[in-house]
Amino acid sequence: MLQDITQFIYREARLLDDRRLDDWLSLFDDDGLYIVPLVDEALPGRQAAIVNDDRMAREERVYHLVNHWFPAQQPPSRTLHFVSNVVADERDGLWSVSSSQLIHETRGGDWTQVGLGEKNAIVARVDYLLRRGDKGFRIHEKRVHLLDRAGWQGNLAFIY
Amino acid sequence: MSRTPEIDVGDYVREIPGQQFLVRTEAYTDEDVFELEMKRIFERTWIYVGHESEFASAGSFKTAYAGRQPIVVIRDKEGKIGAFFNRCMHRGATLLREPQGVVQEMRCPYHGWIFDLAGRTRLVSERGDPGGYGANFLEPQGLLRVPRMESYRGLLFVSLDAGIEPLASYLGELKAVIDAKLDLSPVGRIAIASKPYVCRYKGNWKLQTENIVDAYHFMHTHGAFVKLQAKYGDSTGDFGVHKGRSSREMREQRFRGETWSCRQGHGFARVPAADPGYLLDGEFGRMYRELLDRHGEAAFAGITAKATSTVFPSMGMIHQQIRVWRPISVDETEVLIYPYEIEGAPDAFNAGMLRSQERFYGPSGFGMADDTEIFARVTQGLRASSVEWLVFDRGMDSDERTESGDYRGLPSSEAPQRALWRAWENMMRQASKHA
Repeated sequence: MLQDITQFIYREARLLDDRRLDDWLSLFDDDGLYIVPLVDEALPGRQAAIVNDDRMAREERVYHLVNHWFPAQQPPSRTLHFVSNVVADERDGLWSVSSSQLIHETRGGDWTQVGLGEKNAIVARVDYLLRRGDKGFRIHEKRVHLLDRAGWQGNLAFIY
Repeated sequence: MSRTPEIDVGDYVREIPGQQFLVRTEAYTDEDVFELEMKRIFERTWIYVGHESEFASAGSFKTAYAGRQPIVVIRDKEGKIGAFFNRCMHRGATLLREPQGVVQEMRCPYHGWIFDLAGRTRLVSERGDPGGYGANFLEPQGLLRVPRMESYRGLLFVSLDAGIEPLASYLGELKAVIDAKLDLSPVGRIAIASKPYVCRYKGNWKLQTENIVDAYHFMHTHGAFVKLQAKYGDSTGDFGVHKGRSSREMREQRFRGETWSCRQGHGFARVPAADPGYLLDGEFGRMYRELLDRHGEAAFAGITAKATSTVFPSMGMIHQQIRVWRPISVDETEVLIYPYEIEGAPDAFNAGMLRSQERFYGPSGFGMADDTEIFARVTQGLRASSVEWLVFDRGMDSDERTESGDYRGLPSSEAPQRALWRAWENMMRQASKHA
């Protein structure tokens, strides 16, 4: 089972790296959540999050990235995910999965321009709640705990 | 103390009233200009350092900066909020280094000196030990207090200039904007409960001062967001902020309202609510109807208007957030975005506003990342120093001078940007005590 789970997370990472974002959307439950919190509390409550996307918001984010020209993604980010330290526990049909992820990001084109050609590293513990159904696993929650969530961020206008 | 640059700032801003307004490229790029700004602007204006709601109990503190000078703001046991320079009086280490927190006292980690919550020296460590301090030792009485600290409706500002005009008079016309934003609360108060977004960009601090009140850029820099809004409307958490309209209607909406250039350097843009009926008959209609009854129609129009504002030099209010920016170097700036809550509003209202801010602001939002990207492009473009000037003429011929000495302009006039530069030039020309 652990191998199935790691394969699922590797494939999710590959979809993001290959910018197959519509396929990425289909990995989620309808009531799934993609969240990048600023604080450690389980629920954001009165606290702003960096990303707090339900199904419609995920669709909107993908639509924006795929269909629109906008400054923060011109040129678009290229990413490469490294996933490790996967630990999984099951309770009542819900798999709680923790992973360490190192996500390299760069925007190329004219690397002489300010902000382009930089090699950025996002380091995060990425926790998932996975449901196993007829068609395999579905993401009920993807929670990205940035290592430097309390500090300053640059341009994170892509999906990571 | 940093060096005092010898530069002539007399020809950085060129204004021909009603016709032309130019700013010299080096005003954004020259390190000597930046050094002078830290002294002549950031050490003699009112600098926002926090909101009273962030200091809940004795020992609640927040660190802040006036220019690059580190400051700590802290509530003492009597309940008073004080502001001190964040350095030990002994050998200079910062006393507190978390952005916010609660402490019993301020203890220096270097040699163990302790200061109480009111800044008084509580303990000089190992004082009488061999090689310690003798009978003639002049013990510092306490931390150096920032010369001035005042609050306007809970917004706390400090100034390093003991002789500065009172905060309320300094805010001038901008008080009306703050009042309207806070009067959305049935009890007239806001509260900060969320930690801030922290973003950095490669560019001069004045790019943020200009941009937060720039109605002109929205349909261009954020053109893709306008399309997104037309498609998704309120369904993804806009919460009525942009009212889910077509691109054309959003464009027309942006050409309603007014812009202001205040004599103190503040600027704002104010656009009336697209559809007040939508507010009165909507989910929070009861709250809005009560506000209408209490304040009357004219004030209600102000309360429900969308206002974006900047308090010169480094604080702004836009949407339901307080924004403060910190110059790091001539081409690096840090921006903190604090969403705030409307006290007395339904929880669903505050939660909805928070979601709408997640959508647009912060490093993964649909707006902020575009602005900071543009700032980096401006920084790159300004390296073409062969081009001498930037152009700030827009709307000049239609700006009207008011009795208070401010200017009122049409909705996408660059009047708010000219406010910054008029005050900038005025302050940069005047030698201060220190430089």
